[in-house]
Amino acid sequence: MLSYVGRRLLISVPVLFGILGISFIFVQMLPGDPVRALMSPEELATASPEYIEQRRSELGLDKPIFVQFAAWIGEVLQGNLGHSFRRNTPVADMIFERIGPTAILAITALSIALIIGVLLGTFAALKQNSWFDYLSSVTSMMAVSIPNFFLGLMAIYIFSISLGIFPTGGMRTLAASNPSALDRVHHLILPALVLAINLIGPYVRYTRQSMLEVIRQDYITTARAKGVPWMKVVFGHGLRNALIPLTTVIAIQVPILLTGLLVIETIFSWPGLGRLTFESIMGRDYPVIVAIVFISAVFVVLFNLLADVTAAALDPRIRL
Amino acid sequence: MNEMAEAREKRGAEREPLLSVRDLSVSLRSDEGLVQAVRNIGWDIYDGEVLAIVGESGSGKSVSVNTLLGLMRQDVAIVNSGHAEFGGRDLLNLGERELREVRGKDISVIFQDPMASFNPVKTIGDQISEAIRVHDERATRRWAWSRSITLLSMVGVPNPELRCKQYPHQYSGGMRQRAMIAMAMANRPRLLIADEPTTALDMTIQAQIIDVLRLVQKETGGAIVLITHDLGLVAELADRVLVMYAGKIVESAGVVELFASPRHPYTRALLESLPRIGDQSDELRSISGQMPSLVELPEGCAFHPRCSLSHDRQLCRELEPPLQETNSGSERLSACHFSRELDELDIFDR
Repeated sequence: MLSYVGRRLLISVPVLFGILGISFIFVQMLPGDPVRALMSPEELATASPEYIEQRRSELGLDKPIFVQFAAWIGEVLQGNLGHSFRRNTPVADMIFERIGPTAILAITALSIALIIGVLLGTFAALKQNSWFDYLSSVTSMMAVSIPNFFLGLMAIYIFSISLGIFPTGGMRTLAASNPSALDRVHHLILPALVLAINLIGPYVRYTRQSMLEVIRQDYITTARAKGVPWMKVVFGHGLRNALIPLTTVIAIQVPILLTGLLVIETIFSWPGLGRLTFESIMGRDYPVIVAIVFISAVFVVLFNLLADVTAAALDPRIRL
Repeated sequence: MNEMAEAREKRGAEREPLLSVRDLSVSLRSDEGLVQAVRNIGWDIYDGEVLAIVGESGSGKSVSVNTLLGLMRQDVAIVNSGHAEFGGRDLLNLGERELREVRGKDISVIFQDPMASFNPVKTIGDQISEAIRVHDERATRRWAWSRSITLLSMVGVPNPELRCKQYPHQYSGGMRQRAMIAMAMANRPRLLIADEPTTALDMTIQAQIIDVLRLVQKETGGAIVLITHDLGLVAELADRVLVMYAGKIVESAGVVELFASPRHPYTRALLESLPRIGDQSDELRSISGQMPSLVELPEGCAFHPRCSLSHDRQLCRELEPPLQETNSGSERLSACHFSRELDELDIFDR
């Protein structure tokens, strides 16, 4: 098992390096001039071309692109993700303070989506072609189809503005100096639910599909022939087998989760990486964008690794 | 099924049958329509007896038995009629909860394909332990585990302590079938149903599994229903044989009499299709034609289109023969209008 994890880790390294290079090139191709973006309109109106060139070389932007790339990788390996153009603080610090809120939101949303999705999918499979099955298919289809920004805005309009049940955004009540855990949960529910709704659809469908296959297997009949109660057969024998292919689906969905975070955090003023991404793109803060792209790639690779390890933990036949 | 009942009465004040199936009819839903998989069959099995149910694929042998335990898919199988008396209760009338108590405790099943019949993500020890613990609330995890080890060693799995911790994919086919048998006998069932227990295994392993089954029977003293199409296995293990064709029992006899003088042309054809040592022919004999569609059964005897005895006689085409005694007072039953004619034919006359 340990050597399996080690091997999967090694395979990940070149993948990460490749993503690093590609994302750097893409960002270089973005339109707009970071030096001009940094200056206020008044400053820009009075600045001489020499002054702009001077700022450019201060930022290292006049060097060949490969030098810029190599310098960046060197710094990344030392934990330095560069300096923000706009805020003059280390990018690593900015990311570090944002990663916690994002993790809380993402893990909550993923857990909600998984629990509801797997349960719905399982019962849809058990009651194949029943009204429950159709209802869950239609609902999950709708959940996938509604764009998350619309869902987020509707949720704010209905639950925050009209009904006043949940706050419109933020992570905690700003006036409170030491907010309670309950206050944090209260702020978390709405964005996490909206994010989860977009993820549930595929979980329902794949769990249903996988479960339908599993409950037709001979070993399910064997378990029933032993006298094991049906629900215990489904959850004790069926579910673990049905979840094995689902791990891959979860890993494939991580990019969808990340883009979802970008939109939802922006709408709900959630102080996480998604909103930082949005702010940085608007401000053409290249070092931050490149760092976030890199971090996202690390997440995607890590989640794939996690999915493989989980699959191996669930299925002894993979642990070779 | 009056014939069967009468035959039973003629046996006089014998012991009660362990399981007594009467008038069982099962249909299966399919794309083509309702398949008459089992049609009004009845049989008894007594303690300590090995009863073989023989027939080709699709003859209804597995369906008839799985129905008794409620193991058929409910959206597919429809029980049209029947009783199955077991220990004073009708299995076909039990609720799921009561039936669950019978399954794996009083009656357990050995399935055909040991490759697919174990859960691939649980250890063999866990799966045998589960069979024990589900019927015994007092059994601790540790106790069930050590009993699993004992059971594995009883069926001849070497190194059972280690084998208990292993997963099904780490077992060979033969070992897996041994483990399956160990699991089936975990609660000392009074009736063991072996559904094609050797079909998925190669010849040498088959012989070993037959030995294990014999041993199990000696150990538990229970009865075995052996479902198979392998007449060799029948000769090895069975006391009595039911031959099924197109969802009906066509012949019922003791194993020796059946092999010596079959009283149904289908049984005879089955025996003739067995390859024999010393046979000069290069070809394997087979029964020409195929089993009729169970959605639209032919008029008359279901076997008559393939029968060598029918000679297209009107009776065979028009009237379905009942299962009846071949000679008055005999325990042998045959569903053929002309079963007596078979006496005049030599079985080895090729």
